[in-house]
Amino acid sequence: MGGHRKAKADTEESVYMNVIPMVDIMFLLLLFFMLTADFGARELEAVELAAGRTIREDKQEEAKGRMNLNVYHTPTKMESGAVTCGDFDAMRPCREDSHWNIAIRGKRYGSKQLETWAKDEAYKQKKKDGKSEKEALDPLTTTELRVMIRADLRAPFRFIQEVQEALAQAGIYKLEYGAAEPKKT
Amino acid sequence: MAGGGGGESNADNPLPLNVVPLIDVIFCLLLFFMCSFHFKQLEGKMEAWLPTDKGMNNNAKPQSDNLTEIRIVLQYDKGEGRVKRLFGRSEYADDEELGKLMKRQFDSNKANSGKEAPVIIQPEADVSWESVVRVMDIARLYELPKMEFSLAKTDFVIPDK
Repeated sequence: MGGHRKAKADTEESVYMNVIPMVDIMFLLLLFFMLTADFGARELEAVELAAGRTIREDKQEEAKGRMNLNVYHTPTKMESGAVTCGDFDAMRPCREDSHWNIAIRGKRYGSKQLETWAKDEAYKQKKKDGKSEKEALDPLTTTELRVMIRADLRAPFRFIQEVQEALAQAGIYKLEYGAAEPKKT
Repeated sequence: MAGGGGGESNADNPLPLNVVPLIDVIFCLLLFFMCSFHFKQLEGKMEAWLPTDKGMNNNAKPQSDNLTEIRIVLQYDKGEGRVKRLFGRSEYADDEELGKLMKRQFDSNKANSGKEAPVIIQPEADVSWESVVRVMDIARLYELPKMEFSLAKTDFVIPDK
């Protein structure tokens, strides 16, 4: 009887699952997904960029010191603050001004606020570059500050124009426009 | 890497590590990262500096029929619901045709005056950004080095947030 019980226990042990390889692989997968998770891109709003065959890769070191400005549509199909926009959802240009936003680091801006922001940023950069107070306040004294405009492809041009005007008036002339690699079909 | 005696008997290891909660947690984390993972479309950029010497030019030149200027006018036709691309008075819907024409004009200007004429993009306010980027893309594809935007004065104001 006792011998029978011992034989049963041995059998149970011999089929014990070896979880070590599984844990190893899971750790590797976990490491991969954790490292590739892009939490650093929060200042970039979700926009569908226009495709360009001639785009230049946006290298990480080039993005340093650059401001990102987003022109994006208010998210659709959400419970709070939702707007239903047939054109936007159907990938057609949406010309309803109230649906569009200009945001920098998650904060939305109107025309006047944008002008103030551009002037402040240009002033700070000019002071950093060693310009005098008079030069720093002069919009015709340009600054090397670069601004990337990331606009949704369905955005009306007047929003981008508004941004360009605000930046030009502050002496910021180095503009970059976000574009995406064309989708492979 | 993963320690613990999965295959060892309890007799050999008096303090066996219970890996079940560990695996549970790792599975949850793995699931989260797998779900949030997405292959991003490669993003890049196009540069177009604003003029540095003139500031904002409020006296925008009216469109000229002079074809020595490489001015692409983008007009939104409400009736047809599409954007028209005009070079001079003619419309060019085909990218290749427009690109070749712009390049020919650029080369001709350079041969005559020795100067590199910029491509002036003049979009109407209602034109979608995609149409503008497409013209910029064509200009770069045909190696036209300079691009400018012609901005008309507008009363458009975005209300403050």
